[in-house]
Amino acid sequence: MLYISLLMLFSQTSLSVEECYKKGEYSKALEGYKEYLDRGIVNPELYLNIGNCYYRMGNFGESLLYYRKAWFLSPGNKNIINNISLFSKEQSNPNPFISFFSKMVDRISLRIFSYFLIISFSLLIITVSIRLIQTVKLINFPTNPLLFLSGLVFVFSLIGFSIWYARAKSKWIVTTETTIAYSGPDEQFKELMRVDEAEEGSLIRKDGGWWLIHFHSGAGGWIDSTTAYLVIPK
Amino acid sequence: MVILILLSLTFIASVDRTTIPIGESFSVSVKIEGENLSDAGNPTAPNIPGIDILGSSRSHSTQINFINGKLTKITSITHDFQMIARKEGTFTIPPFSLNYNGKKYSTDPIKISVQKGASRTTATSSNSYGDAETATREFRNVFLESEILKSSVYPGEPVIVSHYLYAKTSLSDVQLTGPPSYENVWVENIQSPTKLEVTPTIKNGISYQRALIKQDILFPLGEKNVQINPFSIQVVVRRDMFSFFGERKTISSEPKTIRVKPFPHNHPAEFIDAVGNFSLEAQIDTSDVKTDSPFSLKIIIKGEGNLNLLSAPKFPETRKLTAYDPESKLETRNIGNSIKGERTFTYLITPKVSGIIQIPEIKWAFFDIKNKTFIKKKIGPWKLQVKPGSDREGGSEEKKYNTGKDISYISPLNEKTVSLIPKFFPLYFLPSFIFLILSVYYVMDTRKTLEDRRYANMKAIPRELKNGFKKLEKEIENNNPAQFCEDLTRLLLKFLKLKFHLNPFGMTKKDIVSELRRKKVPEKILPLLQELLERSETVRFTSLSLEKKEMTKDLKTAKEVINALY
Repeated sequence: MLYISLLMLFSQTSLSVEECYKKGEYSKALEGYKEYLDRGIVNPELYLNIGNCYYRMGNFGESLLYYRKAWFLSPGNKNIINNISLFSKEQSNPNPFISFFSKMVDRISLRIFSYFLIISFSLLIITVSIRLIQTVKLINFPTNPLLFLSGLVFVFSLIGFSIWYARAKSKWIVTTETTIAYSGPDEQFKELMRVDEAEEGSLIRKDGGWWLIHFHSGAGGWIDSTTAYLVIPK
Repeated sequence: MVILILLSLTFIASVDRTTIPIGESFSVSVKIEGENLSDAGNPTAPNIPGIDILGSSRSHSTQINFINGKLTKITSITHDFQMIARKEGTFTIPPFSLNYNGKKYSTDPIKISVQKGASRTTATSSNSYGDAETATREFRNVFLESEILKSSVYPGEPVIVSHYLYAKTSLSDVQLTGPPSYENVWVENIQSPTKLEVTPTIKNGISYQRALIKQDILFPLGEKNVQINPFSIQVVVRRDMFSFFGERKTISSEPKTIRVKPFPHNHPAEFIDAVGNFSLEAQIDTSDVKTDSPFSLKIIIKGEGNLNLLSAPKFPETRKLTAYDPESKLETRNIGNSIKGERTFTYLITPKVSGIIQIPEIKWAFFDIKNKTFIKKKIGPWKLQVKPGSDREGGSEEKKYNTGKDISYISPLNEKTVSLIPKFFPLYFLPSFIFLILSVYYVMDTRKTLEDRRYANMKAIPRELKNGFKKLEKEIENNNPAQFCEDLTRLLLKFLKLKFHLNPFGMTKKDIVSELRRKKVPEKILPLLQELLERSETVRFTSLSLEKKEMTKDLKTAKEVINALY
């Protein structure tokens, strides 16, 4: 009974949030979605919807921040990819093999790669163990195909996992305000460039309230930490 | 040349030219001028080594003025000393001195250069009166000079150019044939007198009458050198004060170049072209800002410098704001030799979205000529509340953001929580590792068993004992003494075989005991072992029987013996 009541309450909340969005009351919709976050619910759809609210309100930095959070959880989601592509300045890789491989890796999340890695590793170990036992005991089991298959899946999973893990570990940031990048952690240092809202980069170092960022555009500099957020907070 | 003015007495010396060929005469004029000047006497000529004084003449003039009801009488006495240079070199004509009313006056020394075959720089006379004739500065009695205060400047740095007419003789009917022209500059006129005002002056030690023709401020455009083109006047020149008719001449100035040097290399990114000394102000109208209506931001640059040439500060356009090219308004005034004022740039800005929007700070820099450094200025940022316009939030303007595509619609929500990586991720690998370790152990153990007979025997003892004891217990339960004794004998002998690597099945009990003794088995065990083996043999091969109680006792003894020997 309690479960049904809770379910009804949640579905009602969801509906009203969705209706707010439909009516164009994006700040109300955002509040509604943020309540889900406060309840500890984390999933790509929630992040996507929060990103949409921010986008409609004109806060493009925040919207990209939440799209990226959603993308990290579900990189193959077409809606997320579409929304991120509105901000994207990336160019396609000229090498078709690398392009294909990177596209494939980009469509599978770190979580899926983790599962693949666990399964393929376990299979690989079991197969290797059987092969070992076969040296002292006669066991009629075709280990070669299994070894090849599990090895292949393991290598692919390991590469994919490493790429995604490196992304997560790189402390991916998104700027939420237009700001200035300086050559040092203070406004007294030389101004290097203007950094637009919704720029992406990696956090290299922290110094007080300043972050040294390596932007994906190739440039780098110190920015005020209040103007950017980590996609995956540590 | 310095003019001494003491108690209304002027005592000056000048030469007709400063570069003189060897052996050619030149003139040094010493002028005594003063109010109500009575006979001032003659100046004392100095002794000049290398230069001979050929002779001197004296002229006298009086000018009477009636100013503000007061009559003044200015007397001017000029002594012309004709001199000749005998050798080459640079000479200094020492001061002439004069005693007047008990005071001693002296002129400043004059430097002259005596050269071999130097060209004449004195005036050349015209051939005929009344004919127009083109002359250059070589006509030294009358010439035009464009005077510049600086010979090299930075782009945009103001430089004053004054165009003067110099004359030794009296002039009339001065006509400017064409105004002075320039190249690669922006020109602001300071003064262009409609009536020439003549003032006495000394140039290169020579006394002239000078009149300003035009004065401009030039602002170099870019890094190209500034060209001051020659300009001309037509003038009627009278040879002396007694000549009635004059000579019409066309006098041209010489072209001049002002070198424009590049800015220092370390100029900041926000520097465009401002040169001078400025301050930055901003005015923003944020009272009722809506997404579909523009608001204005005024950037006011105040100060002194090339205000008329200033480019608008770069507006940091963001994804939320669109700024149109600014309108510009200039208010300047000439103060002395500089241009001061303010330049206002008005930006019309349209917010693309509603909500709180930040206008980023505007950065601008100018080049400070005095300190030869770039000064950076910034203003802002500003935060403003933008209300939705007639279009609702997320209107068509937003949809055109970046690619023209719109964002995907919201997704249906679910309650599940998705983590980046599975919880306790490393633990999932543990079973595989355990399996691997066990497999390796199994393989190693099997290999050792196969290779090491002793190890295999030792490994077999527990299993054999367990099975043997189980069997004996069963025989006790079944009350089968014969079978019990047979199994007990077999178990003990097998144990001895596995443990001590004997072959007890073909040995007598005595041999077994002696062999065990040789292997240093505890002595107290041996009688027990021998007794057990003998009794078992007796039961097996005679009609003697054992009760359950005795069998249990034998089993217990057997266990004690095995434990002691194990």
